Amino acid sequence: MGWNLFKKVPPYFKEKSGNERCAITSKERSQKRRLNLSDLLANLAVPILAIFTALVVASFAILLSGANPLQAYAALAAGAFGNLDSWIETILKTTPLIIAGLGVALAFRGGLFNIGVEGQIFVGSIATVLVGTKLQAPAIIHLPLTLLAGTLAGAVWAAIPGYLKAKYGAHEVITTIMTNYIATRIITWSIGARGPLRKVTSVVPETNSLFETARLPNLIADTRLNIGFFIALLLAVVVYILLFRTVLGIEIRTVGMNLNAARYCGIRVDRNIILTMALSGGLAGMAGAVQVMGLPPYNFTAGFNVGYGFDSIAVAVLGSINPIGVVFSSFLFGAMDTGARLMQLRAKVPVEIITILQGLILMFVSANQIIRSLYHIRVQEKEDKVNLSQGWGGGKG
Amino acid sequence: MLKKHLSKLVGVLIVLSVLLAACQPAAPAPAAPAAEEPAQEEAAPMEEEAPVEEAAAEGCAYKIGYVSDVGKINDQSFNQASWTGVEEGAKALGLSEDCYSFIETTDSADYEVNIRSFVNEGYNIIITSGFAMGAVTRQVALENPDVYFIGVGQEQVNENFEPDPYANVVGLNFREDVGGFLAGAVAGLMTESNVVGGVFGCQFIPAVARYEVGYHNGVTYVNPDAKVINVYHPGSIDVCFADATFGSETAQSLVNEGVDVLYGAGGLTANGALITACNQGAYVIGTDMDQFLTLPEVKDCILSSALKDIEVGVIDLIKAVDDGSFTGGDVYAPSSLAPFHNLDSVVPDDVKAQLEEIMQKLYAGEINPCTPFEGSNPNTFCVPIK
Amino acid sequence: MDLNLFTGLFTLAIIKAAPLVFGALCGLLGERSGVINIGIEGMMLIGAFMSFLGSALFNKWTGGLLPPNVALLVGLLVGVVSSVIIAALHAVLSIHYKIDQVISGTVINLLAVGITNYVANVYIDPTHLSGVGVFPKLPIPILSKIPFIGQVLFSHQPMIYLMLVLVIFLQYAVFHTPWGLRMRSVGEHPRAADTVGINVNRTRYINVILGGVMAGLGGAIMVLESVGRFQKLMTSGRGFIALAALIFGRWTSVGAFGSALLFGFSEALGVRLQFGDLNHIYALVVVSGLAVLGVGFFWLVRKLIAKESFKKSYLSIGIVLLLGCSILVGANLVKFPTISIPIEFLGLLPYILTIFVLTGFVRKATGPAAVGQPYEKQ
Repeated sequence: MGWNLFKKVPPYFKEKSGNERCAITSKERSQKRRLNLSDLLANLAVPILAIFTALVVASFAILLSGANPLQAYAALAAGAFGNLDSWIETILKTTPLIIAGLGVALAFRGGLFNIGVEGQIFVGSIATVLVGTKLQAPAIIHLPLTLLAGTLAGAVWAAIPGYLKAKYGAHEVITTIMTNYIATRIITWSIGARGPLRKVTSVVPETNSLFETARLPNLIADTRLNIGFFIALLLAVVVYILLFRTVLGIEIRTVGMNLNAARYCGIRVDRNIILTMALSGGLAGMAGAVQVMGLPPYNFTAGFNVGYGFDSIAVAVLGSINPIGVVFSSFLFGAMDTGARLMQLRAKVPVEIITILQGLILMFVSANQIIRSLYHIRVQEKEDKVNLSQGWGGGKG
Repeated sequence: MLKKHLSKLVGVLIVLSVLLAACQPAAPAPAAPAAEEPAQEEAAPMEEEAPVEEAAAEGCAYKIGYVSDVGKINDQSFNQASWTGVEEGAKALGLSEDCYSFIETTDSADYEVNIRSFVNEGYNIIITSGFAMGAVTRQVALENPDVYFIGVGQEQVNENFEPDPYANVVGLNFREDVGGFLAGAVAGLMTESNVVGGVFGCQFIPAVARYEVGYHNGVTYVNPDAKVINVYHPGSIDVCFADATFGSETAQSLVNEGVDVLYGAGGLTANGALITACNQGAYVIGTDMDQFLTLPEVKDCILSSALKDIEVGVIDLIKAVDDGSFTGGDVYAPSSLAPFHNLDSVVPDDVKAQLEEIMQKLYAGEINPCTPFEGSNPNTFCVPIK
Repeated sequence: MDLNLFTGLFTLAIIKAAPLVFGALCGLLGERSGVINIGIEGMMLIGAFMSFLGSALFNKWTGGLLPPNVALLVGLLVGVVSSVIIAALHAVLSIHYKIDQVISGTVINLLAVGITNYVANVYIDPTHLSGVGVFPKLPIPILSKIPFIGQVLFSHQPMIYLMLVLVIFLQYAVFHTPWGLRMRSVGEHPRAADTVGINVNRTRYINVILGGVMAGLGGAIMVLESVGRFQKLMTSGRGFIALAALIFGRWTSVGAFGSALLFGFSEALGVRLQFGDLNHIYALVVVSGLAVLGVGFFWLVRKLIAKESFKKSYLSIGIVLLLGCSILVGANLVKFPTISIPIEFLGLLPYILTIFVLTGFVRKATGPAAVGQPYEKQ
C-alpha cells in the first residue's frame, strides 16, 4: 500500500523536504520483468477471451428476442469495420471517448473521482461555440483558440469541485454530481427559445454553427473524418508522459496513492488536487470541443454528447486507467457503439444488447480470474493492480 | 502444455472468423467454422446460410427504414406510433419482416450517419422522426433523389421559413396545438373542481410546447373560470421524457391542489403522471396515440387522448410511394380525439356535441389554438390552419 | 405564507426523499464495512423492475382473485430478493475476486440498464403487462390529526414509515450496538478487527447483502408506492444522488435522511413554483428565511445538549435567529416584482443548495478509513 515509498530518493524530493526517507519509486523502473512469450500470449488472450465469453453470454439474450446471434454479431462487426465509412464512424465515436476517458483516468490516478465529466463536456462544448461563433480570425489563430477555449472552460468547471475539496474538504463525488446537473441544465436553458445562445432562425434548440475557420480540417475529403482522432492519440501520449515521466505526474500519482505520505514529502496536496481536477476537466472540455469542431453541422444542440460522461468512466476503468489502455478500450466501445447501428438494421436486435455486452466485457476483463479459470490459463499475477478507490474515504492516507 | 494453449487458440480463431465474416459486406457471410456454440436453437426457421443481406433480399419490393429520435423507441407514444405505422404500412404493401427495420438514435451527432446507413443498405423508403432531424433529412434527400423520405414532425422550409419542397421528401406534420386544444376542451368540460393540470416533458421541444399552449387555450375557451396548472420536467433531454417517478410525484401534488383532470404529454414521464392521477381518482387524457390501448393501468379513467394519427399518416404515405401519388412538401395530418372507451357513458351528450363543434371550428380556422398567454412557453412555434 | 403550502411541500419532500434515503442506506451499510458501492443506481433499477414484474405476473397468474395488496407484497419480496442477488454479485466481484469496487459498481450499472431496458422492450411493452396499483395510504389514527406534523410524518404509505423506522433504527444500530461496532471496525481497521477475531470478509458480504435489501426497497418504492408500473430508466440518476446524500450526511443514516430531505424539499419547491400562483422571489426569500431559522435552532439545540455556557456563542445564535425572523417578517411587508424564473433554474435549486450547504456548514467529510480496499487475510 505504498510503503515502498521509503526506498529510492530522486533528487527533487530530497531538496524539497530535506528528508532522506521521502521517496517516490516509479514502479516501472523497479520491476524488471523478463518477457516471456507464453506470458505475453496469455496476457493477450485473456482480454480477447473475455470479450468472446461476453459475446457468448449475450447471445442468449439475443436468442430470447428472436434474433440470430451470429447474424447479429456479423452485423455488429460489419457496422464497425465493414468498409471505409464504417471505420471512419468507429474512429469518430472513439475520439471523444479517448479524450474524456483520459480525463477520468487522470483523475483516478490522482485519487479523485471525477464523475462530472458530462457537465465538463457540456461546458467545453458551449465555450467552443461561443468562441467559434463570436470571434472572427484567420484559421491559424481561430482553430487553436477555439480548442483552447473549450479546454479551459472544462478545466475551470472541474477546478471548482477541486477547490471546494482542497479548501473545505467537500467530497468531489458530491460536488461533481451537482456541478453536472447545474451545467447541463443551465446550458440547456441557454439554447432554449429564450436562451442567449439560440440560433434565431431555427425551431430546433441549437446554437449557430461555427465559422469555417474554427472547424477541424478533414483528413479525407468528402468524409466526416477529421484530425480529432490524431489529437486524441497525441493527447494519450502526452498524458502518458505527464503521468509517468514528469515530476508533476509523479506528484499526482503519489497524492493518489497515499495522501498523507505525499504531504509529509513536501508535496502541496491542495494545489495538486485543484490541478488534477483542472487537468481532468480540461480533457473533458476538449472532448466536447473536438466534437463540436469536428462533426457537421458544427454546432451544439440538445441531445448532443449525452451519455459520454458515464461511458468515459467505463472506458477508463476498462483501460486500467492507463492512457494506452484507455485508447484500446475506447476503440472497443467506439466500435461497439458504431456497429450497433447495423446490428439493429440487419438483425433487428435492440440496442440494449450493446450496453449488456459492455457490462459483461468490463466484468470479465476486470475479474479475469473468471476467464483464467474457465480456460485454464495461468498468468503471473501483476504487482500493480488497478486501485481506483484510494481516494474515496477522503482524507485518509 | 498443448491443452493450455489449445483453448486460447480456439478462442482467437472464433473471434477472427467472426471478424472475417463481417468484412464481406455484399456476399452472404460464410458459416462460422466453430459453430458449436452452446444452445444454438434458431428461434425462427432461418436458412442454413447466412444473414439475409441485400443480396438475398429479392423478395422486397421496397425496403423501409425508420430512424428514431434520441429517446427510447417503445416509449409507448410518439416513437412507437411511428414504428407501428411503418409495420402496418409494410404489411399493407405485402412486405415481409425482413424488408423493414429501425435504428434508435442515441446521440444527436449520429442523425446523419443513421440515415445514411439505411441509404447505403439500399433502403428506398426512409422515415425519420423528430423535428431535430429535419435539416439532415433534407440534406440526405437532396443527395439521393430516388430514395423517398418521410419526415415526421419536420417542416419542409428553408432558412427563411418559406416553403421549400423537395420532390422526394414529405414532411408529415401535426398540429399539436389543435390536439392539445381538444384535450383542453375535454378537460375544461369534464372538470368538476374547475382545476385541471398537465405534466409535460422538456419545455424546449416545440411539439411539447404546442401541446401545452393548446391545452391551456382549450380549457379557458370552454371554461373561463377553470384554473390550469401545467408542470414541465426541469431536466435535460436524457431524463425529461424518461422520469416516470417525477411524473408520478407531480401528479400527486397536482391532485392535492384539486386537479381532477390531468393531461400528460411527455413520454414516460407523463405516463407516470397519468397512472398516479388515475389512482388518486382523477380523470386523465393521453397523447400521441390512444393510450387506452397502451397503458392498461388507466383504462378506467382515461377520457381520451390527443391523437396525432402518426400511424395513419405514415401508412398512407408509404402507400402513396407505391401507387405513385407521393408528392414532396408538407402534409398536415389531422389531430383528433381518441374514443372515450370505458368512459363513454360518463361523458354527457352535450359535451360530445360541443367537442364536435369545436373541432369543426378549429379546422375552419375560426379558433386559434395557439394564442400566447401570460407566461406561455416561448418555444411554441405554430402553423396557422388557414 | 400559509401552513397548507408548507405541509404540502414537506409531505412531498418526504415522498421524493424516500428512494434517495433507501439508496443512501444501501451505501451506508456497504461503506461502513469498507465496500464502496457506486452501483446503487443499478440495484435500485433492478429492484424497481423486478418488483413490477413480480406483482404484475403474480396478479396475472392468480387471475386477479387476490386483493392487490397481496400482489404488491409479492412484488416487494421479488424486488428485494433480486436486488440482493445483484448485491451478492457486487460482493463476490469485489470481495472474492478483489476487483476494484468502482469497477464492479460500474458493471452493475451497465448490466442493470441493459437488462431492464431489454426485457421491457421485448416483453413488458408488447404484452401491455398491467401493474396492480400502489400501496394505499395508511394514516396513523390519532397522530395524523396533528396539524402539519400529522400530514408530513403520519399520513403516508407503508414503505415511507418503513423508511423512517429504518433511519432511526440504523442510526442506533450502527453507532450504539456491538454489531455496529464490529461493522465499523471492519471498515476502519480491518486488520485490527481480524486480530480480534472478527471475520472481515464475512461481515462485508453480509453488509453488502443487507445493502442490497435497502436498494431493493428504494427501487420498489418507486414502483409500488408512486408510479405503479415500471418505466425504463425510471431511477433517472437517483442512485447517484443517494450516494451524494450519504457522503453529505457524513456516512450516517440520520445525516443521509437530512440531505435527502433537503434535496426532496428543493425539488418539491421547484415544482410548486411552476404552479404559477406563488411569487417566485417571495417564495425563495421565505424559504431562505426559514433555512436561516432552521440553522439557528439546530445550533441552539446542539449547544443546549452540550450544556455549554459561553455567552458569546449564544449571542451569535440569537443574531441568527433574529435574522431569520426579520427575513420572514420583511418578506411579507415588501412587494416583490413578479419575475418568472425559468424552469431550468428552478430545477437547479436542489443542486445549488447542496453545494452551498456542503461548503458552508458541513466540514471535512471523512469516510471509513479502509473503504475501497479488498482485505487480504494474512
